Amino acid sequence: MNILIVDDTETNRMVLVAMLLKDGHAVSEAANGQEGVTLFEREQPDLVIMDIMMPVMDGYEATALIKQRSGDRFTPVIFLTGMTDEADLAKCIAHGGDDFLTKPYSQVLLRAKIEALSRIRDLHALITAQNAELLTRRKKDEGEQEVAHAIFQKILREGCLEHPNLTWRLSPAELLSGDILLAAPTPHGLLHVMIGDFTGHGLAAAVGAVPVAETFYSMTQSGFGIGSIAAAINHKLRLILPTNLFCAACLLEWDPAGRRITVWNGGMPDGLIVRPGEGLLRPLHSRHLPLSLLNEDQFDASTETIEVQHGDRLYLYSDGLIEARNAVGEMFGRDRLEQQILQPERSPVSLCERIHEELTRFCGGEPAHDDIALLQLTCDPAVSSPDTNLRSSHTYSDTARNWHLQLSLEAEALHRVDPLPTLMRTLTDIQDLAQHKHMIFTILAELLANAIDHGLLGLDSSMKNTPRGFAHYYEQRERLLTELRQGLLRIQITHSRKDKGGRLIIQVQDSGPGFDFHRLVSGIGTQETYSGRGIPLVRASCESLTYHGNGNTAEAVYVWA
Amino acid sequence: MLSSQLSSDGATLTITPDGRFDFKIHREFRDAYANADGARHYVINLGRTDYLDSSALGMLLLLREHAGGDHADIRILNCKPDVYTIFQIANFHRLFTLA
Repeated sequence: MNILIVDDTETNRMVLVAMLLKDGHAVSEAANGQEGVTLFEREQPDLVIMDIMMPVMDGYEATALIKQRSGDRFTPVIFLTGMTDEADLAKCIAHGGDDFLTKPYSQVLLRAKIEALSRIRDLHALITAQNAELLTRRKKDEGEQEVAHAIFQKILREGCLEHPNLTWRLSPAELLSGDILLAAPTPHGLLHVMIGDFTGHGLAAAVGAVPVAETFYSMTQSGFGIGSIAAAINHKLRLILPTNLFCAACLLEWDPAGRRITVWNGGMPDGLIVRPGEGLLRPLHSRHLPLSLLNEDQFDASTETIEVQHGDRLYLYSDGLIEARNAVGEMFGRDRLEQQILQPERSPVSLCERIHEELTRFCGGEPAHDDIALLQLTCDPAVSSPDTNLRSSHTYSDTARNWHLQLSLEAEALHRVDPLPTLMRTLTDIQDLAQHKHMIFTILAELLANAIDHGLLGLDSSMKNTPRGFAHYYEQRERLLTELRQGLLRIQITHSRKDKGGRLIIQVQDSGPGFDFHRLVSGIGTQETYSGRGIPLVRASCESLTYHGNGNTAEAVYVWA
Repeated sequence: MLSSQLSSDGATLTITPDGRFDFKIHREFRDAYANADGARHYVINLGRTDYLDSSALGMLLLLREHAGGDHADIRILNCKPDVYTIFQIANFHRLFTLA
């Protein structure tokens, strides 16, 4: 160890130096307090042995300065003094000394004290290093949480929580919330809202919000109902979440025109509806298990529909709201919430803000233990404005291009791929055919169905002439398709530019035996057979439909402007 | 995918297919009305149907058969224009109430 001796008596120093050198320490010497402080800064000793009574600066003052300048380091100071008065010795400790020994001292005792303080010093150094590491980690952790928080905020903003009929408040217990609120308009002018509560809070819970939001937004945009969306989210979460993590959720669809609310509630507290002048309506009970708990085949996607009137207000909230406790452990409770929402709304302070203020008052500064989410939907179409409709990604008008697309699928590929969605996606990626999408879909769907069902699988449509046969036909189809070992389906789509718009030639060829296409009837009757409508549909949808080869190649021409 | 709902008096069954109404949901569609014994009125809500193929037409005819043929009370609601075109091509407006 590197030891500093501060003593104005040279003989005292000599005795000490001899002893410490013998014990293998490095030693520096100072003859008074001020010299001691200077040497301390220069030599950075591991331990100081300090006299009290010295000229220029005494030991008390020097020790105080040394301790002050040690910073994070712990440098033990042992007072070695001729004073025996208890008050003087106590003063040593008061000025920052760590121990004392009165002269004449025992060398054995001094060695023991040096040894003991050296151990404390090592321990202190270890803790300081660990603290520094913890601090670095915490800073990194906080940085990462900030990033996650920013992502989380963006996800919420992606939807239409700013919808004029919605007010809401999300108060996370930590930076990241395990509660989520999502809202998005459907293509048919309805509004979808979702409130979710993941088990736990913080990062682990917030991570789950990403796939939930993604599924919710994309399926809403595609026109799926809330039951189907709940089922899809359930499936997705089941795949990715650990068993102990799940998500209670309430999904809601509001039809402003039809004055209807459809709800799927799995494990969230009762949704509350207030009708002005009448009070609370029947609550929206949870009828399902939270998301991610059930297998796909056990999942119940059934929803409940409630008639609402204009002016009705609906409230969804997480259990963090009613289970928030004050200092004496009392819960905020459903009654207090109901009292609040039964009061008429007074702008400009929204009811959500008012409830939150009431809750803050109730808790009286107690920190929240759970995330709190609260959302209000005002069932009044007058508030809605068309600007909040989903932004359309197809606002530009597309110019026709020349292109050719070819897809060949062998039996094995057909086991796992339904070529229809793939083709439609690719086709509309190349050429924006928004208004024609449906007709092109019809043509492709029917031609592909014929090529696969009759060409490759050899199914006979007459099977579909009875209700039982109809079901049987599709069961057979499913089975035969999985058993199919040989066969080829080739689809060619050629698009060429015309003066105005373009021409699409869709050719579907199968490796089957073909059929006698000359016998095809051209009309579509009102006869009530369950089949035989596909080809007439295609005929009516396109410019021309012709068969080639032995009937295994069908070519439809669709012209758009 | 589809969802179905029986009115509180059990007399009206509403079936709402999601997205594509095609042969993939033929079993679900049949189960929906086969499991609703007391239903006398049927509503097919196509508000969420983007596409419809010829097998869907067959399925609707099967429901018509099940619901009493010419005496069946089936209303097809909320058709989008494209879907409506298909029904017109198939002359379905003669067999069903399209609204």
